[in-house]
Amino acid sequence: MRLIQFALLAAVLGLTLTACDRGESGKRASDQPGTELPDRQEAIPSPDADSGLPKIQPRPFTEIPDSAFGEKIKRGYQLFVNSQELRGKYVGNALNCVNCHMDAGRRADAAPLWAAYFAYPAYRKKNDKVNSFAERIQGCFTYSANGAPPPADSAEMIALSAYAYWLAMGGLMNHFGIDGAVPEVSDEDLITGAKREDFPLPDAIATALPVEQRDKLPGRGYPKLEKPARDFSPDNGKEVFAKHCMACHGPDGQGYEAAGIYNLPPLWGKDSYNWGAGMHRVNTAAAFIHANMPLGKGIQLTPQQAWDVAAYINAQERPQDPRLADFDGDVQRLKERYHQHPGFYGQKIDGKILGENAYPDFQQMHKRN
Amino acid sequence: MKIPHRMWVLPTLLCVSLLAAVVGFAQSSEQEDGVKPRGEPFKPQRDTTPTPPEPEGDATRNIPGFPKEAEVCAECHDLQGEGRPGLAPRIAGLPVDYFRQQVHGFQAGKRKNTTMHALSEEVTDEVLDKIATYFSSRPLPKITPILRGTQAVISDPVEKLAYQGDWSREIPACVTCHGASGIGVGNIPPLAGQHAVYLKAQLQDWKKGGRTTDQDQVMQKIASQLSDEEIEALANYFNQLGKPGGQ
Repeated sequence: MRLIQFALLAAVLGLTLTACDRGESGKRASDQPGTELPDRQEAIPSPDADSGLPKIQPRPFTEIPDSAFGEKIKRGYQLFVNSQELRGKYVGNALNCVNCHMDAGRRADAAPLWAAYFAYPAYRKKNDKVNSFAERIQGCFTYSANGAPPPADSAEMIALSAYAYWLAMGGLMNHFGIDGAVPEVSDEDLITGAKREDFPLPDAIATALPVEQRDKLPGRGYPKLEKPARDFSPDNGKEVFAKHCMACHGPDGQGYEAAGIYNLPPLWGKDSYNWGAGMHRVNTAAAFIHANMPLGKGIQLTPQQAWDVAAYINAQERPQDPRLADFDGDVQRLKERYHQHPGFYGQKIDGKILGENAYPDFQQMHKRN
Repeated sequence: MKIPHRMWVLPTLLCVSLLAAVVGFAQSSEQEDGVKPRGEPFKPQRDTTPTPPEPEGDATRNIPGFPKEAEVCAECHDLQGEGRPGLAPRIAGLPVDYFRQQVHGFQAGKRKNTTMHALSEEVTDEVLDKIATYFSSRPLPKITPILRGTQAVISDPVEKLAYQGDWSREIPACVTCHGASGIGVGNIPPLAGQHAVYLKAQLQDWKKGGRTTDQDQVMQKIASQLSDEEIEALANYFNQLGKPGGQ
């Protein structure tokens, strides 16, 4: 009963698209012994653009210092843009971080890295647990990259954290008129994120950005998209896809590769994000698409078209939600726990329950090989 | 300037006069060895003009799959589709669908070129499929593509545009869609090794609205953000990428 109540509550919350983690509405799988994959792909909030908080623009890369610290930043950029370097190690699909974070994670309204960096560590009342920036990135690898999480103290995680930190700090320092190089911080500080009292910041920034405001930088996530006039429809989305998306993503949504890299990424199927990724939510995908697609010509589709095509893309089979193992392979139980949001996991489409014929997640691929 | 082979001059002149008759296109500045592209003075490039091929006879028989219907194309684009700078672009290795769309674009006036407009009207879809399949099968320049994300700090502004774009003007990196080093991908045409004069003309056409074959005006918007200097530099950059010893 308790679960049903929470599921109902979660369904209501799901409509509001708030920062709330729907997974927390029920008892978390991660609280149970033997489970270790929490929901770290909750909908990213879209902060008020007119809050008065700084709208920042990262510094140009030519300002990355020639130093060991600078090398970490550059390495983070490389891994972010060509994540396929980590294929088979931490990445299990054909995607690169930059596919969903435009301009290498620099662009506002395209889930910029700099905004994420100042939004972690994020405290969760429900389980009294704090998620660091590294843990958030681990979620991206587990779900969006259908891979395995790099250890928090790995060179890759430190590099990605250094890159995110440098983007954020350079932008903030410019905003507040602070000259000079971005201060170096320790690896330990880098991987936790900047939303904490003891994170080393210049006084002007620490004062202007109190901890409770740091996760509200304008441009974070994707801009919230108004609800469609009528319910979103995969069938209608198919037409939108054919007209506006197919030229780049291909008739079967599998993208195209050049020189071994899918520079035009697959949107569903075995090489795309898995059923645990934030982008499988129709609301998230609709907001992303509306603001950012077609590439270089965002805000092109009507909101209705964006919702419909997001539904079409996300009503296709993709790699399994890796948490399914925690639910003894029961798609419906996993759906009740973690999929109380606009999405198609566990729903019947064209006579098949989505999730029941999912492609392998990273662990399953690993077992097979 | 090279003197074209006699066998080459005749059909070309015939072609030109035929065209002039069909579309009333005859300008006094017409060169004896080709049709002018887009009203610009035709200036053969001394060092890069390839030896004119023989469009008839044994040469075509030596190329497997060369369709007889492609002979008219080969007169300007060459037998292997290498084209000639200033006269006709490289069409070797173009994606088949892209090839078709462009010819349809000429037919529909979505691309502006007097010669191609006239010639494309003669082409049925059946013939177009044969021609497109043949030229698509011709090789692209052999280069080692540089992957996106290889280098964070790029000091050359043109290379930066190509690899990182300029999102303050909503310009994505060219290689995001055109593939690493612009080698082309899916239905998106290769840029590496394409003639600079052609790349420049196309970007200018996108910019000025003369070419409207793109989906959702994506290229039109991108080109509209580029300065003339950037267009020139990008055209040269991608042209060089396709040359031996190019980047």
